[in-house]
Amino acid sequence: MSSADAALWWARARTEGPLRVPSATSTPAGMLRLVERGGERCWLLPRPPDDVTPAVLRELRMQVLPVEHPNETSRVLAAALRCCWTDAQAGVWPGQPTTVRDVLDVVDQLIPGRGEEVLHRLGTGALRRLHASRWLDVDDEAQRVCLGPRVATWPDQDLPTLRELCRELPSPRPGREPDR
Amino acid sequence: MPPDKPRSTWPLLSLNVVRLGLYSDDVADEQLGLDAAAAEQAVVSVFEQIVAVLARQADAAITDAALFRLADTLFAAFARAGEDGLTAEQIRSACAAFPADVIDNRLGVLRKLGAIQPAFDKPYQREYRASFTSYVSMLFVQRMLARGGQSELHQLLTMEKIRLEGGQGTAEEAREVAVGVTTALRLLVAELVALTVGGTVEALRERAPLLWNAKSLIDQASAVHEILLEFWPELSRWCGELRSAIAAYEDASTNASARLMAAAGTSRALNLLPPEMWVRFARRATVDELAAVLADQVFDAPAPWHDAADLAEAVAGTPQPAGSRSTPPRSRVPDGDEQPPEEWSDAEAERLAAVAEEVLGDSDAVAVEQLLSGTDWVTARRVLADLVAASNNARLGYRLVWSGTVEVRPGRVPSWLTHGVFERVRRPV
Repeated sequence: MSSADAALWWARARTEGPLRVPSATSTPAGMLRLVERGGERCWLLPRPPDDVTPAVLRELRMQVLPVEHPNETSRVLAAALRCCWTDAQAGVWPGQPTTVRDVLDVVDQLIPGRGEEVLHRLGTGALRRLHASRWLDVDDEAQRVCLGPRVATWPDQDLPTLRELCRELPSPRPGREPDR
Repeated sequence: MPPDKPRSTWPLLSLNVVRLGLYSDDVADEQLGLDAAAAEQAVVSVFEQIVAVLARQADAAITDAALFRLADTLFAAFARAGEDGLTAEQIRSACAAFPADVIDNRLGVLRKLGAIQPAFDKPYQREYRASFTSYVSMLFVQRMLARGGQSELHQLLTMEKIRLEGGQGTAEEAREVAVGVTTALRLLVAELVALTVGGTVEALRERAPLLWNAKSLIDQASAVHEILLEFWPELSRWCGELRSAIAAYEDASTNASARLMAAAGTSRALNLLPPEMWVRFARRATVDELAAVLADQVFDAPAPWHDAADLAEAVAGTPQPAGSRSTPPRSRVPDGDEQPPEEWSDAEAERLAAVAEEVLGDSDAVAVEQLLSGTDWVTARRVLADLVAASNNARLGYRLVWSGTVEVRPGRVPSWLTHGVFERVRRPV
């Protein structure tokens, strides 16, 4: 791939975020290639050098993109990670598919006592936001949740923190229907 | 706009792009680009609206602003030529910047409509002269283009007021004035209401000149109305309609301004602009303007970043009961000599000043590359963060100056390097 092509891929990724392309596409320089479970398509993500992540913006005292309901969104992402990242020794990507019910059940255990309706409303909103920013891949029809390509951009030095987090989180309660 | 014209500008726009592409070979300094095409389209659309009442067929108006410029060139040439007029060959050479078939076509149209006429009424006449009326109408069109129809309405009202004040003019003329002003105001109201109720804020903002000086327009119209009623009491029926039209315009302009202000309020409050504005900017911006947007972006494809530490914090933190205070945000990286929050800003500035002085030593400037090389990235980025913070701190006299190029150095730290200089800012004493 020529450097002009690579630059084009970078520009595309800059405007659109992670790119979902057929697996036959060769990987442009400096980009991370993540093959999906089916193997037909893969994601291309820019990989900045030296494991730099947008977290560096905070170090530079620049404004980061605000998240709506940051805590709720983070909790739902953590819960999804708990459900999907089954093999803690492996990398985060691609993880196992899970269900919306399981994810919300973990959130429910984190903050017990919230009504079903509140949990559902906040949870769905958070899932939608995480889906839009490609942290999760949420299939509303099938009620299925997978990890999105962005989880692969967590640098290696963050993985111990995340493993610890997953250990702390409760597992989804099997076969338990949400309280009506 | 004639009713059979499509409202969407896209098909027209693409046609224009093609047309511009054709001309750009012949017409000097013609910039091909979406922004140019959009501007042309706006101009042509005003032309079409102006000539709509005179046109016999919907496609009878020119569809290209270049043709307007051709007419301008032509009239200028006629003015220089004086009473002798110009022959067809002279006309062609005067308009040499345009393609020959376009000139022929324009000459045919202008001759047919009488904008240029044979200089003398005899057979085999080769010289032509231009019509004064056509040129004045062109000036008028240009003024409409620059200021929109509303200022024309202002002048009309002023003129009518002066004329009517003297009590000159017949009742018939006065009635015509009343009817004309009423109709103009009603059309203005209809357009404003459609934009306010059904249109996008963006469309409303583009037509905002309709709202300029609404108050003085209302005052002028009311003054005309009073004169009419005073001198011609028998016109009370027309005056009643004029009154209701003025009132409707007042309401419509108030509502439209309110919507504009509401939209401005929300986009001011957040750093979010309405999506239409982004789309419009993307369409109209030049390459440089578009590039400038990206120039100072470190990370885009804006998606929120969920840091591992944030996740852990969110999980650990139970929801705060309402009214309690949350801890102030602080850096993820622990600072050894962290100060209590109330002294934070001063202590931070002092620390940064100390770092900056240490880095600079006796010199006034130091290359960033020199500071970052030879360490690992974790250290280097702490240094960089401090330098950026020192540069951003208005109370400290340091700044970072970056050059444009990026050096890619695989295997070295940092592997991507923009050359820059950290320097003291000389303050005028």
